Amino acid sequence: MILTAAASVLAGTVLSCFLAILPGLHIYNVMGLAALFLYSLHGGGLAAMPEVFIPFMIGLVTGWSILNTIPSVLLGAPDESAIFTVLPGQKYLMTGRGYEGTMMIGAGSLIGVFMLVFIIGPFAPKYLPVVRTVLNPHMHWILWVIITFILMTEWPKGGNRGPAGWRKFFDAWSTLSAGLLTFFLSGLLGFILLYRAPVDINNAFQNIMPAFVGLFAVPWCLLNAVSGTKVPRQYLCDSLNINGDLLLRSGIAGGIGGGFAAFFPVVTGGVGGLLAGHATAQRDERVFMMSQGVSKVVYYTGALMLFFVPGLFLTRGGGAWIIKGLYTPHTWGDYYLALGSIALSGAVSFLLMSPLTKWTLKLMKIVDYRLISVLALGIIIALVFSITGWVGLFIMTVATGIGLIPVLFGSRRLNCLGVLLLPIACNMSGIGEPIAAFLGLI
Amino acid sequence: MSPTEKAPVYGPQVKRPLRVRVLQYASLVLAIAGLVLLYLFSVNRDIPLVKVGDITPTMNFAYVRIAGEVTRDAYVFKSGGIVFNMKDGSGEIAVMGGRAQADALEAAGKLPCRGDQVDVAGSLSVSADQEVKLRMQSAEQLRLTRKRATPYYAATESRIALSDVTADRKGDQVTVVGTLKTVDVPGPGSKAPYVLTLAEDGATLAVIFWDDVFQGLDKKLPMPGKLISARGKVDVYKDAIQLKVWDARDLRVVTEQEIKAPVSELPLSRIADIKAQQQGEVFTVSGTLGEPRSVRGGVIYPLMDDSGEIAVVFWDKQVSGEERDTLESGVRVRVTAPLVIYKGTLELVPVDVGGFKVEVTP
Repeated sequence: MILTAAASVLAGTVLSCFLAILPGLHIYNVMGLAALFLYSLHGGGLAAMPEVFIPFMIGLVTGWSILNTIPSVLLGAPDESAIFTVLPGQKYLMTGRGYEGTMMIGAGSLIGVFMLVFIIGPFAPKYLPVVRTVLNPHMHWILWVIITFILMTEWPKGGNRGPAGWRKFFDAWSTLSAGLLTFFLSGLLGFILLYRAPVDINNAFQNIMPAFVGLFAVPWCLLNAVSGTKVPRQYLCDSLNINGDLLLRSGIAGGIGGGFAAFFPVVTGGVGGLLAGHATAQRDERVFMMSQGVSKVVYYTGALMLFFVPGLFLTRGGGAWIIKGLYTPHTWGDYYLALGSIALSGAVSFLLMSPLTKWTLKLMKIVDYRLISVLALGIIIALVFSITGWVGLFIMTVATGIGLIPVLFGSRRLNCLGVLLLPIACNMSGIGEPIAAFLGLI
Repeated sequence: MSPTEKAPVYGPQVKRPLRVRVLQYASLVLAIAGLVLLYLFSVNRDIPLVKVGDITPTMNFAYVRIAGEVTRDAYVFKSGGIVFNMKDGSGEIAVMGGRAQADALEAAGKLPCRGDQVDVAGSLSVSADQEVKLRMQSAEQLRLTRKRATPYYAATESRIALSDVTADRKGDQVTVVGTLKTVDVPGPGSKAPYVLTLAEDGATLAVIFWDDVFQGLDKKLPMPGKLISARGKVDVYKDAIQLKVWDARDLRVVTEQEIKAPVSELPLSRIADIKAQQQGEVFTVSGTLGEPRSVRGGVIYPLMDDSGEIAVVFWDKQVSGEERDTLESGVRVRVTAPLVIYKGTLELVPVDVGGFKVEVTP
């Protein structure tokens, strides 16, 4: 049984290597496809053992959350949780230190796995149920605080020069307005999807997927496909310019940000990264980058881990929701299986990080990375179509229109998270129903 | 000179170069238009009606409608949520709602009770190893048809006089009729029962019931002076005799005429005289059946007399297919059933096979 579980973790991790390299492809989309496959097995009278598919799924998520640093730095194509690593990552790439930047964020991810397995893991079953009970009545206003924080931390990128007047005013406000508009349009999209999801009910478990793909993945693939940045020669290094102090600081900041995102409903890794970024609002870019690596792993893998914590009964993140349809953890054995899978997959993923980064750098020399983006875009569209059909493509197209607004106007793409934050915060505050009724959705 | 003016120009220079800002605004228009179209697409779709037995794990989060019969009374949690169970012939499902839905249903007197017919929309929650649940998003999306009481005159127990309700009958199930004298409503948060005091020929009796029955009455208490029929268990509390009513269907306002006449002798009503305001009242109508129309869970016949036409709905769960085997177009029937209003249409819905009688076959 141990060998079966270990083999499943490794299979998931190795598969995630290839998936992580493809820019824009989110692991939850692949998990959705895997879930469909498992459901069809069940329908056909066959059943995969939980000891097989759970480690496999955990391997997918853990491996991907660590290894998707590679495209976010080298190809400039992050998922929403890695948005903040792009700018500093690009800086490393454009100075020929893409490998070092990637490995540095990877070191942060490794710290994240250590935190999950050795710090959060042992204490979670005892303390997190209490924390949950205490925080439950306050979730709604905390969500509104987060929303306010996201909106208020958008900064004007124009209007600095020139004579005072309306022109300067509008210049300053164009970015802010675009950010606000993005947030509210995605929020409206979220309301529609929550109350009247047009996706076929037989695949409703993936009804938010086309929106996420459109909001985040497609705009980046399009942008990469049309951009003509020439990547300079890259250098490899044997050591990273970091020490224990920097690792500790980044671990604390990223752990808090990612942990917050993993524990609170609808708060995603992008928000966790934003919080971690502000917590490390520093002069030292290395701490910032590593904290993003920590935050990303603690969010994705931690949210999945929480699903298995005995007595907590918490489902956070798309991965946990997908697994919930297949299996409900009951025992401490499930928890140990999850922790063991995370540890094994985390170790293997970090070991694979260096060769995969080198391989990607080589690939970039041979194949134009714009071509990789086009290929990824094709795969994403095929995936959306195969799961949600034409309606899903329609939703994805609409979401792409919204997702392009921040790209074209230079505002923060995190505002697209309004798709979840706004309707859920309204629902938790008891005003979702009147708003949905006002919109004619109910 | 701006940086763009320094850039080399490929191809012949156009007169008015397209500004990037125009494209930005075009993308905005596109996004908003797309959202509007998606919105229109979504709101103009009917919420799909599904059978509980057909629900699969991939339908998790699907927004669907389920129609069926309530199998467990609605329970409102102290924390504010609400839950009730229902079945639709293919399976059973728990329907849950939050504080907002519970408050709205309670305020409207629409808390579902066992036997009621409901048509409710919500989001499915499907987990492995756990029961499927439907989470209501809005109380407005719960359509409730109360299961009407079998008229008291058709009840198995015969009516007894108020003066005959003595301590000796403690524990007996009895039906009484009396004029309502007083109504005592418990204070907010009180666990005390509602008390209706009935009087008949000088004798009085306290009829008591709790909030679940009050909810079943759509939160409407009868006015003093009305003639009330009550069916319940005789009890003695602090030396006072009382009648405990556990089901809203056992408590209703009646008329002198109803008391005197057995069901078969209820006066015939002309279809044209039946008005929407009389919803819930029981009518007897005689007429000819038209062509039936099948609906999910039953069949609807138009019933015509000299004055007009009314729909008669036979739900499979109340009148089975076999029991209505004798019905067909052209048959003359006498229907005794409560009046229900559905989407503005007047319907007579027989509660069981005793609710109709074939008079003449073609």
